[in-house]
Amino acid sequence: MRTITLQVRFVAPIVVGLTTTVIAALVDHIPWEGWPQLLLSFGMIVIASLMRIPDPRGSSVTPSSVLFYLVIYIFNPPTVLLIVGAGRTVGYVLSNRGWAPWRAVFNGAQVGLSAAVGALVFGLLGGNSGHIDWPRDYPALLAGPLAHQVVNNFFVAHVLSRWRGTPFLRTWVDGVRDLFWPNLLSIPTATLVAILYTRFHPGAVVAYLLLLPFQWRALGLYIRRRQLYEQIIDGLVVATDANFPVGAGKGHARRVARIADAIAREMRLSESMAESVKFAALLHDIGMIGKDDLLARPVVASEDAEELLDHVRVGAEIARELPREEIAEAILHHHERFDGSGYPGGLRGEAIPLAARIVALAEVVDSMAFGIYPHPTAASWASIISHVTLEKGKGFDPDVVDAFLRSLDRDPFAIEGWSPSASDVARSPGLSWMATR
Amino acid sequence: MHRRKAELAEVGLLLVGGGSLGFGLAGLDETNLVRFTVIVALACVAEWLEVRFGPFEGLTLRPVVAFIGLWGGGSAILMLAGLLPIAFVGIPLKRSSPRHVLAQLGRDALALWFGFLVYQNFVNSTVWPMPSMLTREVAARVSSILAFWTLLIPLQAFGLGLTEGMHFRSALQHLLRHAWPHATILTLVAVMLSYLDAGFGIMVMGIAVVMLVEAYYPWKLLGEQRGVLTTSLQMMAQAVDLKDPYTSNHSRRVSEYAVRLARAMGLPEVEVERIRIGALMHDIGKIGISGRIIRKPGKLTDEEQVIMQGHPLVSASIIEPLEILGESAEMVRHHHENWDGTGYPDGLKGEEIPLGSRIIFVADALDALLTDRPYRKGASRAEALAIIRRNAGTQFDPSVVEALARIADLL
Repeated sequence: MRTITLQVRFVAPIVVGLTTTVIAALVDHIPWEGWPQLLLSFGMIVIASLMRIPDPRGSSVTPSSVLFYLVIYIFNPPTVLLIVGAGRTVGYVLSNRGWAPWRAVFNGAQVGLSAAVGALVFGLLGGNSGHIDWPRDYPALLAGPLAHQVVNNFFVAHVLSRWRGTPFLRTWVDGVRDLFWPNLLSIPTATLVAILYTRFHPGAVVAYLLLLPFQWRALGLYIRRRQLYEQIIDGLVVATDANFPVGAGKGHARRVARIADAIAREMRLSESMAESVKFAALLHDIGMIGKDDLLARPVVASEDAEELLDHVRVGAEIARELPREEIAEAILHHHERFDGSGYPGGLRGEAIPLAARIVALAEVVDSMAFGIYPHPTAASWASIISHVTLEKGKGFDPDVVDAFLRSLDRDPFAIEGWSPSASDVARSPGLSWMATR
Repeated sequence: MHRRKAELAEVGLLLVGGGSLGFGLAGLDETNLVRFTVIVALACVAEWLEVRFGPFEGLTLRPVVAFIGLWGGGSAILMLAGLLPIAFVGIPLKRSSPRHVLAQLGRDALALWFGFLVYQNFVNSTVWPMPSMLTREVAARVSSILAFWTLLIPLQAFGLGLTEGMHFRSALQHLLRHAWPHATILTLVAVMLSYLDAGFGIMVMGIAVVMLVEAYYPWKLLGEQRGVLTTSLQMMAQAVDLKDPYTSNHSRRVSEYAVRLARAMGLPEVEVERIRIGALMHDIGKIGISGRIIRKPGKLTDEEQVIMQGHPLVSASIIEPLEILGESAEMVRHHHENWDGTGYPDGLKGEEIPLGSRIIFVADALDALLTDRPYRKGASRAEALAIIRRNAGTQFDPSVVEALARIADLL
């Protein structure tokens, strides 16, 4: 956190200075005679900043983005800068995140600037502030909010990239991409409210905020259910772990999930695929549940070893209960080798499901690192990496190996110092996956 | 007998649905073709958003769009926007069976017709004195869509009675309890949107529908999460059942039987859900018991017997702290109590045993009898029923056994 504060101290004065200068220079362009409308929008932004809705698709959203778009549509850039900057600053202070005046002002100025850029783009593309001409304004209606988003993410990425030690450009692009859909989906809402605001009555914006509690009720219920679901998966993971007699096996499933997740992200898999990979990694040894008596013996006899290998079949049968077929497939094939010498199917190359290829690598890495059967002792990182590299194209998919090595380069923290829990697995990515650090 | 009734009802609904679609198509003229297309497209978007109240269908936003079509364009648009999306969205996206889609078509057609008749009656009739044209129109709109819900929900409950073996009354109660807040809100939203349509044009109304769908999305997620919860519980149960290959899917079948039994006995849906979860989780306590004891084919030693008999207690203590599941802990704890008081863990007797436990006990026994074991073949249905009947009053609750006899051919 200290690095962030430094960062803020360095950049914040520039941003805040720029904001105040722009407002002071263009103060004549602000339509003061319409002060009730300015005050209304300001008040709504303050209130919206206080209403945090946990968003199941991302981290958490406030209804404020809809209001930002609204003011982008109906006011000129300097007015937007003033309203959003001031509203956001006050909202930040009131939202009980501790007393940090600099951060509040910086946050306000930063969001205000990006909204003003959005309003500028809206105007440049022919959007007529104060009168939405649907559907002629269609491009402007889309571009304004998106410009706001891109600029806003520029500031956020600036701070985040320093904090996480990731390249700036990539952090920026990732940030924009993660928030693209939620933001795009807010545009129709904002357009509608803007139309009602300008053609009917500004009070429409209040009506919009009144609709939110109904949505909240569902979200609250949903999140409780989701937690229960996570508890169930957690319970299964604990039950699987309990079958490993030695201490090193504890937490194996979660660590494997962490590694597999890092690889899946590195390979830029789709959201649902990445989630399947995580679930498959968490549950890959679930078929061990009935085999506790075998693992408890000090030496594993050869016929018992045969039965242990059967855990992939049992595990797949258990996971077939889940609605996603690919999870069961990944569990079934997580002991296949890329060259076709694995089990149970002896599949080769691309015939092995991708999720299974990822889990296979992640499982070996963790087993070596912690000395889990069949690896007798814990291996060093250097020897793990040389083993993985050596097995590239033999035991493991070369693409997966490359992705794994890249993810180590990019963020060694993701693998080494992990303290993973199953509860962050079911969560969507976005900002939340970095929040777990 | 059940099947016969269901088929008859389906044929009837099919005729109604087909007739209404034909009527709708016939009533379409060229002047409103663009409007018609937009409305049907919006209705498809709205149909995608389904709020489920249980493992069966719930309500969608489609009627909102269909009725806006009626108020601004006439009965043909109402019928087409109200019916076409059922097939357009239902078959490719929701993967409903054609049979199910046909039944749904007929059912919705009936309810849409009813709504239309009420609307027409309200607008044209002079029986109802109204202060102004606007009030008359608003009242007509509100009552027509309300009339739609009023007929649709009992029809849905009736269908659930035929397909799921639910009592009409408990199905209706369940649906009403969950549906009425949505029906009320959607009625208001529909009337508001129709004025948006009239005042600002169909494109603005279209954005509003998209916004409505977006705003309703959490409710869809919530409904889906219910299904995910059940499947993940099934997975947990299956992990335990597979400790012995002979008991694969045991818990899932027990839960199916128990749900049927509970519905046949006319229990309210809330209780049925508890029983579903309790039956799924009844053996979860075996997770800590060594596979060696569970798979042992012969007689257990006294010590092993004690371990085995501890499983209802362990099962109950596992699920107790989890909300929603916790409500089933009590019935899981007692699912091995005998009716005459000779069971375990507490030796409860007769009515002292929770009803859910008595139902799960019978369902558990039924599945154990029907499936193969290493030392014997599974019994036939008639044999299993005879064995359970013989033990009614000693081991099992006679009223549960009686319910089982009634639905035996459905299982």
